[in-house]
Formats: sequence, C-alpha cells, structure tokens
Amino acid sequence: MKNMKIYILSFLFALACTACNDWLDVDPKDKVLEEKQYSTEDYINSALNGLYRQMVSTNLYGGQLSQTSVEAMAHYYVYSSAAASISSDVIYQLSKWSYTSDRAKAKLLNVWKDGYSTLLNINNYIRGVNESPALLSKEHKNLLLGEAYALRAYLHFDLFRLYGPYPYDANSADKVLPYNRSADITMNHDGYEENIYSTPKEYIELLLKDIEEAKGLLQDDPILDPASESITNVLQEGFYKNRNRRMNYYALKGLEARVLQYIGRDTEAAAAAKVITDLVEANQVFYWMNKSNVVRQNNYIFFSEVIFGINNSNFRSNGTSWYLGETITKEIYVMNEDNLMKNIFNGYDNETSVEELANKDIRAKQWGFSNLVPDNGIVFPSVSYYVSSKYKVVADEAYNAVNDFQPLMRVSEMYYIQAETAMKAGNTANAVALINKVLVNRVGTDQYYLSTSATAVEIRAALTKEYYREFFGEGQVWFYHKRIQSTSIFSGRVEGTEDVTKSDYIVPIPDEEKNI
Amino acid sequence: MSKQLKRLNGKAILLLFFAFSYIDIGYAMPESYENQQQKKITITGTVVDEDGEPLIGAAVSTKSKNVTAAVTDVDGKFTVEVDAISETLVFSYVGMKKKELALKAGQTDYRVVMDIDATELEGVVIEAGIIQRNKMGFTGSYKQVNREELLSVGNINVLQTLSTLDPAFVIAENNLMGSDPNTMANISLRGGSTMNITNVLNDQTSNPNEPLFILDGFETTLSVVNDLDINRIESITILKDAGSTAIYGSKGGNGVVVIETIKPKAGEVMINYAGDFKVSAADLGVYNMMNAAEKLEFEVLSNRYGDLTAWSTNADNIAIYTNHLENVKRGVDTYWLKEPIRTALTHSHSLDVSGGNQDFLYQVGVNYKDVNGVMKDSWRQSFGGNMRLTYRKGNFSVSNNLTVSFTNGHTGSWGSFSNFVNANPYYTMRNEDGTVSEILDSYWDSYYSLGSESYNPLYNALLSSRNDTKSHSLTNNLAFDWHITNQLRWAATAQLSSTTSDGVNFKDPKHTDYIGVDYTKRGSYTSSNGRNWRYNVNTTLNYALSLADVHNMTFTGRAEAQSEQKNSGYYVITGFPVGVEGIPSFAYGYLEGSRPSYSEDIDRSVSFLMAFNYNYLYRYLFDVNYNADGTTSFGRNRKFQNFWSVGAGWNVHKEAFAEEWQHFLQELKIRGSYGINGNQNVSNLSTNVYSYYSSSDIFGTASYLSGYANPNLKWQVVKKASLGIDAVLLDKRLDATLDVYQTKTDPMVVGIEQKPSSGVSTYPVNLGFIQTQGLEFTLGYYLIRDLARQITLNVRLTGHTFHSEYGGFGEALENLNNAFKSDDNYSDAALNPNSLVRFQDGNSPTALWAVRSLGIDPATGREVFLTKGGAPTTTFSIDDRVKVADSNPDLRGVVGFSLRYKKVLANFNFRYSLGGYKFNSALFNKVENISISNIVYNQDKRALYDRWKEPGDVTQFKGIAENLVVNTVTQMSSRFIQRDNYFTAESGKISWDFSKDKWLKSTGLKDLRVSLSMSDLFRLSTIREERGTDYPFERSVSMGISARF
Repeated sequence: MKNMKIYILSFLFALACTACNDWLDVDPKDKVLEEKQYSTEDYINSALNGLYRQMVSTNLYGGQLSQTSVEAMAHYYVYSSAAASISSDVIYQLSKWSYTSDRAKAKLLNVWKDGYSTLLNINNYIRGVNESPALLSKEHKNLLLGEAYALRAYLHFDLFRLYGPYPYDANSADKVLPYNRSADITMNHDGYEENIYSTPKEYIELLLKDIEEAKGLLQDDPILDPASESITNVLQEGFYKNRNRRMNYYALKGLEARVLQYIGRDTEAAAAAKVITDLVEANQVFYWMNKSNVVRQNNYIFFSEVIFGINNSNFRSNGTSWYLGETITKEIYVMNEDNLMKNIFNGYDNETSVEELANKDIRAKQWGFSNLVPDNGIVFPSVSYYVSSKYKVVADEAYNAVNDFQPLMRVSEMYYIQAETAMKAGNTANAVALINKVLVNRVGTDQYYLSTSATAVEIRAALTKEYYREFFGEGQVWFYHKRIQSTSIFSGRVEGTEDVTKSDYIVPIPDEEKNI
Repeated sequence: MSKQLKRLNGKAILLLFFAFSYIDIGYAMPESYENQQQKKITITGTVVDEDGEPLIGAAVSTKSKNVTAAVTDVDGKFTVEVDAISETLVFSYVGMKKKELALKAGQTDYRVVMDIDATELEGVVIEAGIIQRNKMGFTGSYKQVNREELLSVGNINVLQTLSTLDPAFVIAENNLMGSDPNTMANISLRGGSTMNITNVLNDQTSNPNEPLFILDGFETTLSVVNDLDINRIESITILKDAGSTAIYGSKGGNGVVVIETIKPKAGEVMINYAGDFKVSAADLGVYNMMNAAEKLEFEVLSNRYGDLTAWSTNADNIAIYTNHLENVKRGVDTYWLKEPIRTALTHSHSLDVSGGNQDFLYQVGVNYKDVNGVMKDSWRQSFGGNMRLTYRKGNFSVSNNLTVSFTNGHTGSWGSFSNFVNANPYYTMRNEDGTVSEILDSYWDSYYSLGSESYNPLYNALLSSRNDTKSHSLTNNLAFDWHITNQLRWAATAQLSSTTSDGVNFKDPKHTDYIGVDYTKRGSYTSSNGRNWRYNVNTTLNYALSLADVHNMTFTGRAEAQSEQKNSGYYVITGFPVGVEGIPSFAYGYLEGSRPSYSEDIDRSVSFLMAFNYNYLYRYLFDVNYNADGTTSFGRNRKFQNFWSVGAGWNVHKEAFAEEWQHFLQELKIRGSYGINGNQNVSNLSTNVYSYYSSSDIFGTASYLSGYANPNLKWQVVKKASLGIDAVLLDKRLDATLDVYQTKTDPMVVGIEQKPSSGVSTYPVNLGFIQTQGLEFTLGYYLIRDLARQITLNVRLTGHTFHSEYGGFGEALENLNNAFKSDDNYSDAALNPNSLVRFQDGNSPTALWAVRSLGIDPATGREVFLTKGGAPTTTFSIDDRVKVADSNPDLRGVVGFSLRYKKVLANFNFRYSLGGYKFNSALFNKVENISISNIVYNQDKRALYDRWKEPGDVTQFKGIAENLVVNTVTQMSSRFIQRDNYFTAESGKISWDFSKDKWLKSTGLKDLRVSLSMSDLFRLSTIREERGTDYPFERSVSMGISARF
C-alpha cells in the first residue's frame, strides 16, 4: 500500500515533467504578449485604440501640440516679464521662442520622444495586423490598417512642422528628420542620420505615399456612407462609430490639403479641401453649428464642424490644472485682455466699441475672467486675464459627444485653405467670399463681414485673425505663421506685435537625439 | 497538463492532513509505550570525547535490537532501559568510532569515552539545501556555520552575524537609512556578479547582486531571513563557487545561503527558552553641527544680514540679526538631534518544546521579537510559530513542518533625521507658550528675488503621519524519506506557502508639505497590498555505491517544479480633514487622475538536476553537476537553459606518505571547480509585450507596446572558477582556509540608450562583461588549548579582497556615462553624484571618477584643478574627470578572539577595512556648497572653522563668501574623496554557562546560559563623515538568557 502511494506519486510527477513545457507557458494577466495582441479582432481593436490613447498624451495632442506649448509659441498666453529671473517659467521661454533653457528643452524633448514612440507603436501595429492570423473581414482589415497609415502621416506631419526646416525647401539636401516606417529598432551607429533621416522632399514624399496608401484602405470608411450615422451628437457604442473621433476618410483629405498647402502646392490643396466644403454646402456629414445653440450648449468646439478630433478622458482634469490655477508661475495658461480684445477680436471694421465687437462674435463668448492671483514680486503687463471655457464642457446626455473631445481639424480651415489659394491666385473676391462663409456662421451682422473690396494684404490680416479666433487650443496658429513666414506675431501681452525671425521658427532637434 | 499538477497538489494537501492527524496519536503514544514494558533495568551514563567534552546527540542502542533507544542530551547524559543485564550497549556518533559497552551487574551509571574515527569523518554532511554533500568528498567552496558559532557572536540578527563570520558575505553599509529596523540590508557574496545601474538610469530593480536564500530546502526572501529567530537555526551554509551553486542553476549566480532549522531529536521532552534584551542608543558623535553662537557667526560671515552698520538702508536685516543675537545671548542653543531619538529597548523571546521516540518526533516553537529603533516611534515586531512532526516506520519517514509568521513594521511621524540635524540651533523648539510653530526660519534676498524657508521638524513630528507595514505568512513543508536499501534513498518534499502583506502610508493634512495647497488635496493615504502564493514539489533519488571499499560514488537525481503567483496593488486617496488619523472614509477622494493599480504575475520554473560524486579512498575527489532549468522568465523561445560544473579535489592527508606528518598535519584538502550559473535577478525580454491602459473609453480597452524585446538576446551567464585549500595543522591548533576565485559575467544584459527617434529609450543587448578576481581567507589559531581544564584562547583573522573590472563595452556606454550631464534633478552636472561613476573597460564598477584638485590656493582662496593632461587650472571642466580612487577596499575582514575559561566564554570581533575611498558628501554639502537658500539650515562646524579666510591661509576648504555671496558652486573634485579605512568593534559577547553548577538542579533547570553582548561599541575611521542621514546608526548592549527545563 505504502509502495503504491509512492508509485502513484512518482508516476504523476513523471507525467508532470513530460508536460512541463506547456506548463511553463504562462500568459501574464495584466500584460499581453505581442503574438496574442494580434491574434483576434478584439485584441487588434484594443491595439488601435491604444494608438489614439498615446496621441492624447499631454506631450502630444493632449497638451503640447494642441493647448499648451504650441499655443504659447503662437502668443495666446500671458507670461510674467520677471519670470525668467525668478523661475524657469516655461510659458515665458516658449513665448520668447527660447528653446535652450532646461525646462523648454525638456518639454520639447518629450514631444519628440512621445511622438516617435507612438510612431514605433503604429509601425509595430501595422506589421502585427498584416501578419495577424485573425479572421478579419476585408472591410475591417482595410479600416484597421487605413487609420494606422493615416495616423502615421498625421503625426509625422506635425513633427515636421515643429522640428522641420524653415522655410520648406524641396531642393534642400539636408537630412532633417527621420520618417519612421519600420517596426525594427535601428541601433544607433555611425551613419544613423544618413540612413534613417530624410531630406524635406523625401520626407514629404513618404508622407504623401502614406496618405495615398491610407486613401485606398479607407474607401470602406462608414463616414462615406450617408446612412451610417457615423457622427452623432450622442456617443455611440461600436468600434466604427463616432467617426470624427477617428482618423476617418475626410480627416485624411483634410490632412492632404494641409500638407499640400504647407509645401506650396496650393491648387491641389484647395481641391482636397473642397471635397469637405462641398459636403458642408450640401449639408452632409459636417454642417455649420447654429449660432444660438453654440452659446446655449457651451459648444465652443463647434462639434458638428469638427472633421477630426481625439477622445481624451483626462480632458477636464488637465484643463482645470492649466486654466484654473492660482499663480502665473505654475504654468497657468491664460490670455491677456489687450491681446484678446485688441489684437484678436478687433479689426473687422472701423468699429471702436470693443465690447460690442466681442459681443457679436460668438467665438469671443467662450472667454471669461480668470481668477488668477499674481505671484509675489512679479510684474504683470496688464490687469485682466481671460480663460476659455471651450474645454470645460459638461454637456447633457442628449449632446454628450462634446465631452472629452479634443478637436484637431475643422471645416473652417478647409474654407481658409481655399481662400488663401484664391488670394494668392489674385482672385480676391473669391477669397473674401470663402472667408465670409465662415463669418456668416460666427458673427450676427454683416457689418463685420470682410469687405468684398478687400486687398490681398487685408485678406491676409483677416485670415491671421481668423486663425487666432477659430483654432484656440487646436495647435494650428504657430504652424500657420511658420508656413506663411510671418515676420511679426501678436505680442500676447500688449496690444501690437512682436518681431519673429527665422531662428525662432526652428525648434532644435533635442540634444538627446543628437548626442546618442 | 496543469490538471495533473493540481491532482498532485491535492495529494500533497491530503498527506498534509494525514500528518496533522498524527498530533493526537502522538501525544497518546509515549504512555502506552511505557505500559508495555516490564521488569526493566534503568541504565544511565555520560558520553564524552577524548578531551572529556560531553557529546550531544550520540545515539545509544542495544545490541540485541539494533534500534536507537536513546540520544544523549546537552550534557552528554543518557538514560536507557534494558531487559537484561547481559545486554551490550552500542554508542554511535558522527565522526567517532562505534563503541560497545558490555553492562556489568550492579553498575547502572557509566562514563563512556568515544574515540575519533578518521574514516568516519567521511560521513559528515554538508547541507547544500536541496541535496546533501559528503564533507570529505566534496570539492566545492562553502562555509558552514553551526548553531554554537552563530550564538557565540550575536543573539538577534542572523544577517549581521553571518557577515561577522564569513568575509565573503558583505552587507553594504546604508549611510542613508542607518539602523532603521524596517530597512532591509543590501547583501552581496564575493562582490556580486552584475552591474548595478540603478543610480544612473533610475532603475527600480532591487539589488541584482543579492544571493539566493534557501530555508529548509526551499527558496525564501531576505526579509524572512531578517526576521528569523536565530534560536531556531541549526546551521547555515554559504555556497560560493560553481561547484556548490551549480545545483541551483539559473538562480545561483550570486551565491546561495542555505539555512536549516532545528530538527527534533528523540529523547525526553526538552523545553528551551531563549530571551534577549537589547538596549540601544543613537550614535550622535558623527554629526558635527555648529552650535547657536557658531551658526550666527557663520551667517554674519556669509553676509546673510548684509551690512550691519547701515542702519538706514538695512534696518530690516539688522532687526532680524538682533533678534537672533538676543536668542544666542539668552542662551538658546537647541540640540535638535536629541529630540527624535530615544534609548530603545528591543527584546526577543523564543520557546521551543521537542521530544519523542524513534517512531514519532515533535517540535513546537513560538517566538516573538520586538525591535525598537533608536528614532522615536519606529519599530518592527515579529511573531512566529512552527510545528514539526516526524513519523518514522522502518525505513520510511514522513515529516511535516508548519510555520506561521506575522511581522508588523512601523515608522512614525518623525520623518527624516536630517530635518533635525539641519535645524538652526538659535531657535527654540517650542514657543514660550508651549506651542510649536510651523516655520522655523525664513530668508529673503531682495537682490536676487530669492527666498527660502525652513520648517520646524518638531511640528511635523507631532502630527499623526505614519508608515505601517504588515505581513502574514504561512508555510507548510511536507517531506517523505525512504531508505529503499542501504544504498538507495528516495525523498520527496512539497511546500505550500502563502504570504500577504499590507502597507499604509499616511501623511497628515497639517504637514508643511501642504502649506498653500487646496483642502481637497491635503494629506495623503497610500494603501498597498501584496499576495504571494507558491507551491513547490520535488523528488530526489540518491544512490551511493562503494566498490571494493576504494571507489566511492554517489549519484543524485532531482526534479523540481515551482509555481509562484504574485499579486499586488495600491491606491492613493487625499483630502483629509484635520484631526482624522488616516481614516480613508474621511478623505475627499482619490488622488486626482490616479486609479487603483494592480499587477499579477505567475512565475513557474522546473529544474532537473544530476549530481555525481566520485572519490578514490577519499584521496582523489571528483564532482560533476548538471542542471537543466526551465522558467517562464526565459521567454517563449528558449524555455530551458543548461548549467553545469565540474570540480576536483585532493585530500593530501589521506595519502600514505602523509601518515608520518600526522603529528602536525591533521587535514589538508586542495580543491578546485569551474562552472556556470545564471542570475535571475536581472529581468529579460525576449518577446514584445503589450500593456493595457488603466481605463477604457467609448472604443473599449486600449493597449500599447510596453516592452520592446530583443529576440536575439542571450541569457546573462556567470562563469565561475575557484581554487581553495582547507588545512588543519599543528595538533588541530591551526585551522586555515584559503580561496582564490574568478567570476566572469559574460555576456551581460545591458540596456543601451537609443536615439529617441527610434521610438524606444533603451534597448537590451548582450554587451560587455564584468570580471572579478578575489581572494578570501580564514585563519584560526588556538593560543591556548587546554581542553581538560576547559581553557582555550582562539584568535581568528578573516579577510577578503577582490577586484572587479568591466570589459567589452567599447564606446557603447558613453551615453550612459554622460547621462549625468542632462539629469533633470541636477542643475549643474558638476554637482551630480552620478558623475563619480563610469562604465569603462578595464575599470572597476566601484571606481570613483572626478576632476583632480590641487586644493585651495592660499593666496586667492580659489580651488586649483588639474586638467586631464595634468596642467593646473582654475577652470573646472567636467570632462577632465579621471579615475581618482576606488571605493572598494583593498582588504576587509574581521579579526577576533574567543576566550573560554571554564564556564565563561568571551568572543570579540573587530571589523577592518583598508584601502577604500569614499566621497564625503557631508563636506561637499555642509561645508562647501552652502547655497544662499541653505542658510536657513544648520551646517557642519568645519564650514566655520576650516575655511579659507584671508591670503596665506592654508586650508582644505574655500572661503565662506565664495559660495554664498558670489553664489558660485563648488564642483565635485577629488578634494572630497577621502581614504576610508576603518576599524570597528563590531560585536563582543561574554557568556556564562551555569549548566554544570550544582545550584541549578534545585531550581528545576537543566541548563542555563547568560550572555552579555555589545555591538558597534566604537569606530575608528580615517574619514570624518556624517553617517545615517535619514536615520541614525545605533550602538547597543544586550543581555541574553537561554534556559532548558
């Protein structure tokens, strides 16, 4: 009997050992091995969702590329003149286009790091989906890949606009930035720049190639089907719903327009932009917000006009810390009264009453007084500060799609792109008409519309102000200046402008990239 | 397949219950056993060795039955009952010749003298944890410490005692946490095997050089060993070279510490009690702070108050100065250091009951330890119990050992000791009305618009902040042992172990950290918890063969499977109302943006071991070990890894020609081994891993690439070679062991920093190696060895020297070497302590790199440096760094003596360390580099007295005004690297043994020992530094009692 016991035990143990190879295959519960991550559609969906989640990092579109750093560089925000000597106030550094201080360097390094780490994720995702054994319908697979290619182009474009050359020169032989399309780490070695980095022309070619690739894949985008209800005022369950929170087909067209305009191919850019404005004119997919609803709903993101935005669940808490803090040295992003009222919202007409002007444009109504308390010993350039309520939305259930939504591309930009093309082509009347199509939906009376006799210079000035009024917190204005090569920018602290030079437009590639 | 294992598990649990059910039977047994006996003759006696020393644990059997009838007790005494006076008693004892004693009629009390049997020594066993080795035939390098040796050095902490006894077992001194009872030691054996880049890369991995701890055959953790009751330990074996650690395969790279607890012995009921009472006090002599008058003088010299004669323009500062001066004149000179410390009493008790007969043995023990730290309100309590039952039937035995332990650690609100060290002495702790103000001192420089404030450390100390940890663990070991034949033995053991730990860290809302913070964010409460569940089953087959009595062979085969599941999580809540002592329900909410964290890991491993040992007449020895390890942590593609070792040895004293040397040479063994081990403390990635974002959104869950793997990565392997000599000479007066070794970790796994545009910050590659050569020795000599009169004097010297160096890196780690230059935590690279470290081929990991300094120019008071090329300069450039010194000492060890005079035994050990260097941070931060905002803190006396004042002063330190007025920094130069030779009285213990005293009998005690011991009584050092920054070091005196009933 005793021996039996031992035999049974030994037998069991022997069995155990023959099978121990399987026994050693343990899947971690809070992590997923790559192989499994691409084994089913659900896991793949989670990986794609992860790409968007990386993009809402505060170093990318959850902050620095939308509401904070690039907007500081565009002079939306006030800063203390004494800031430099008493602390390393990053708003001051960025507003001065001083990229060499430790804090500014660290900030800009994070954009670079998170940007390229997201790109590695995108590349790994594209490889994973391509090699996946999962049973995916053709439509889904195309969409899953198409969004990734489009995101790769979108992110690369903003890295190019931030760190890239000024001005864009297609003939330059300088290797400027890496366009990353590989999921393999290329070890640092001599010649990294020659092999991995691209010239401006190569970079844009690769970018446009990704756009073309994505265009082919996004032919199945539900947003193209008018019956799909892919954009609604109420968030919908479903992976292919809420398409304006995803890199959809029209977002790709908008991106194409932006890229082409940036490199000076204006006519093609206008053609791409027109695809979207045609929809608006036909009242399909994207349509103008009703002015009275905007204020009533606190819908300053103009939800139905947004072509592309990102779902950011930290939206409100980030906004609270950026706009509702107490002292200016703690990275509080507030606007100066002079800048807001005199630089940005004054200038449609000869109208002198600032109050009235601001009351007429519904975009001005998002601005309210800040409860900012100046820090001891800091000299302020003005007395009143304003904060935007654009990102403090708490919507009702019937319109909850505005919640946690960071807009990144909207229809008005598509009108501006066409207007600028028309202006450059000498067709000022057409340019004015396109700008006024936006103004009709923003300002109550026609006295503030752009005059049909406006000159090219007046149209440019109007466009600049429109960019400031329209895209607050969306990260477009700085790149607008860089593209049109502005030599002066609104001061941000007082009425008037400040000069900006070539070196100010070039954000240096981080030391960590160069030194390793 | 896991189904089978579950069944096996079930089986183990079933058998466990069997074992428990024996408890009742066990107690009933002795009675019925006695009732069966009739007409017995009781024989008593004492068994001693040639020197007259009693032999404990000698087995007494009757020749007719050939079964052990009794075992001698601690006095060598035995009592047996025989059926007839014609019986012959047989005595056996390890290392002694068997002795037969024919009983004589009329005599019932005998004195038996046993003789040493040289050949029997071959039976002495080295406990290697998972298998046992024969001492004479083993070729590995090890150190075995028995209970007596352990207790002769210390009473309380096992780890501290081990480091005294073995020179290769090194506890790194923790200058930050001093003698904090809740901080675990950082341990390495033979200098460790891998590089530690924690400081440079902010890596959170725990000590990668920590050896493996094995308790009763199973893996355990450092904290379990730290809390282990020293009285429960039977022996500790430290396995050092590949020959002895190869059996642990992938886990043995850093060496193995094998601990065996006491097993019950047959005989009458033994009740043992051991108690220890320790009084400790903080060592405040190392803090060299200014007194009130000195500090004020220093402040005036450093221009804190500006021009004291300019009444019209500087009235504010003059008023502040006058106020401070009045305090000094009033006699205010607060000795802040005294406030947070106390004289701490630590006591521990352990009670152990054991006994049984040859069929059934039991041992039950409980222990309690209450360690109080020298800082107020810091303690660690542990309570444990264990029950071991063994049932034997013929050649088969089953035993079960159940252990439970509870540990509670607590650190109160006193915070870092440095807050008290740094408080200005011309302020009182309390205001006149007894209240305690929040802010102690504040300073405002209107010129630089710079200000600073220092808080009253007592204010925070009076709040209800706390840091508590609790852990409970339950471990059950079940073992089967079957001597199938004399040669063949089968054993199997199973362990189930569960550990739960909880931690609470509460910071009071009134803490000065929350000044100016919104009420919803004041105070914080962090709750963390961990659960660990492990099972391990293994089976061993042992075969011993002796051919023609000359070829002795043993073969061991072993298989083991282990699974460990670890869960952990934590959450942080904040916003506490004042006056609530960390009750979570009163909080405002979770920390903004935070979510509960959770992690779950399952680690599984299997291991197959084959060990073969051969010897020819115990003269020529040969060992070979082979281990195949499979673990989940190797990754998908290579689950198994092979480890092996070979060893050879020569027992010179066994040779025929050595016969004639016997009068001076009793033992001489020359041995060597070579083999490879792995180091599992270094994590490894072989497949890409995705992690989930902590919450989901409208699109569902989201995952991201959290670990980017290198599929070509090879496992980090440690190659070890070792050569040693063991000798016993001069009529056993001299005992010497000498070992030389070389370990080479090649390849290493190093995270190479990448250009961020690649998408990752570091990438693991196989790169470089680290090679260590070392020598360790232990010498013991009996100056007096009069065993008959019990007077002995033994002196000991142990030493350990080693040198490590990197190789094969080339230029690959230059970025790591320069990482300190762009460290966000330091505004100036020249102030970053990481600049002292460099990973460079041909250089030691402990080398100190700094710019050479010629000292202070007496004429100008400015520092003169040497460039890399050796030219003097006054400009500091961090790129002029060269290797200045090495913090690893040339030689370290312990020198000690033990004196026995009759019943008194004195044992003293002194630790020495020679040739090491150290960066003196007290000089760097508290003598120089006192920035303008640090003026609100107290400073080192040398900042006032030893600094340059006027041309012609030959000093070691810059002028006071150099740092403060001009506000320039002092860089890390060789000026602050000092020789760190020291000599400390590590432990001293005197014990009295009253067991032979007649008066003892009348008290009912069988044995009584009393001891008095001291630790860290003094310290002589060539460096004057501040030791114990956040927690002071302690000195202690303790008294121990051990009694047997």
